[in-house]
Amino acid sequence: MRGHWFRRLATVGCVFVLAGGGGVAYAKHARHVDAGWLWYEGTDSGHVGEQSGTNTLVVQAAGDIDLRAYHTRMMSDDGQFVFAHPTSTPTASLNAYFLGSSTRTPIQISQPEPTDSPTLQNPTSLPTALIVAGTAGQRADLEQWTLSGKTVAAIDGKGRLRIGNITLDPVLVNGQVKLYALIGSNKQLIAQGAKR
Amino acid sequence: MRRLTLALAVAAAAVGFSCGTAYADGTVWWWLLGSDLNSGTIGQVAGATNVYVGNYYGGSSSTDFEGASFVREATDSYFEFEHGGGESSSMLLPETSEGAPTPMTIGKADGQNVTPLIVSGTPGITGDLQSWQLGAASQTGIDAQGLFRVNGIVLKPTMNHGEMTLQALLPDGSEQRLVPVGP
Repeated sequence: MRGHWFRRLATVGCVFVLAGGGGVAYAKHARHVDAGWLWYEGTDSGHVGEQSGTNTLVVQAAGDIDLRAYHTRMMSDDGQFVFAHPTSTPTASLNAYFLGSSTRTPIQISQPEPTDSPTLQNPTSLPTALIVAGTAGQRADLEQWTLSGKTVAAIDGKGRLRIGNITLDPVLVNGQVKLYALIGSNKQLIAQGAKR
Repeated sequence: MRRLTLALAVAAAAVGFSCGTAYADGTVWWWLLGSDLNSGTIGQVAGATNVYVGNYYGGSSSTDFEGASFVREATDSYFEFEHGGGESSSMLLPETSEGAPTPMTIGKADGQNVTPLIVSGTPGITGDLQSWQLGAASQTGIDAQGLFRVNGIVLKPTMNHGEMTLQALLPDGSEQRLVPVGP
């Protein structure tokens, strides 16, 4: 009889030990679970969890979030990677550094990887490395190159190249290319296709 | 008493989802935090060195990272953005926390002499290295030869016998030499 009790007690004990951290964590953060968290781990200043009914995993820190791996892979089923920032900053910024240093390096878009699909060996299937997308009819520049905040070159809202304050606008008129330079409201023909 | 023992064991197993034994599909996890592999979890599959954050099986859930600064590090220097097969590209979308779209800035003026952005094509590429789209249309791009195309016209500076000329390549494949106009 005593042996049966011992076995039962041992069984329950083992399962609890195996169940381990989860149960303890839930109890430890009961106030957060009560406050609408399906599960929660961490502290007020740094935590991970899921709020009930949101289907969203939240990883939040009052300071920085550091993710480190040999190879970092972000996955998104709808293809969207959103960079949200406060309204107090005008843009989101991407920067590259050597690990553990403040020495910056270039950000490289679409460097082929050793593990890329063999189909990429077929030139017709090679993707455009970078697409900068705007809305048809927009007036703002599509892309700018800046030095200390000053724009030195840009692709304007019509897809034209602007160098300094001069916009180059090649157009095809009756089969002849005419290259215009635009400065403000002034438009000047600077070159045209030679007649053959 | 047997029922009580069984109930206690089952309850403990349910509460202890995060402990790291087998999940319903047989996947064994060394450790796992979360409630459901179809929504928000973080964990490490037994025998693997990868850590999964988010939705292990894909679907409509999201993962939000929020901090003063979001730092991602990769020892091999590769940061992949994988997307579903139904999408043609990964979209990087900067916006305020209220959802208003804003520009993405690459690099910063911190006094360092560094090229902020390099766009790399695979050798043999026939399409554009980079394109600028307005709506669904793209009239502007940098092609695989590094030439600038706008309004369907490719501008090609060339050097012939010490003379610099500017050629225009038209969509029909013909070329025109652009001759300066003016005084």
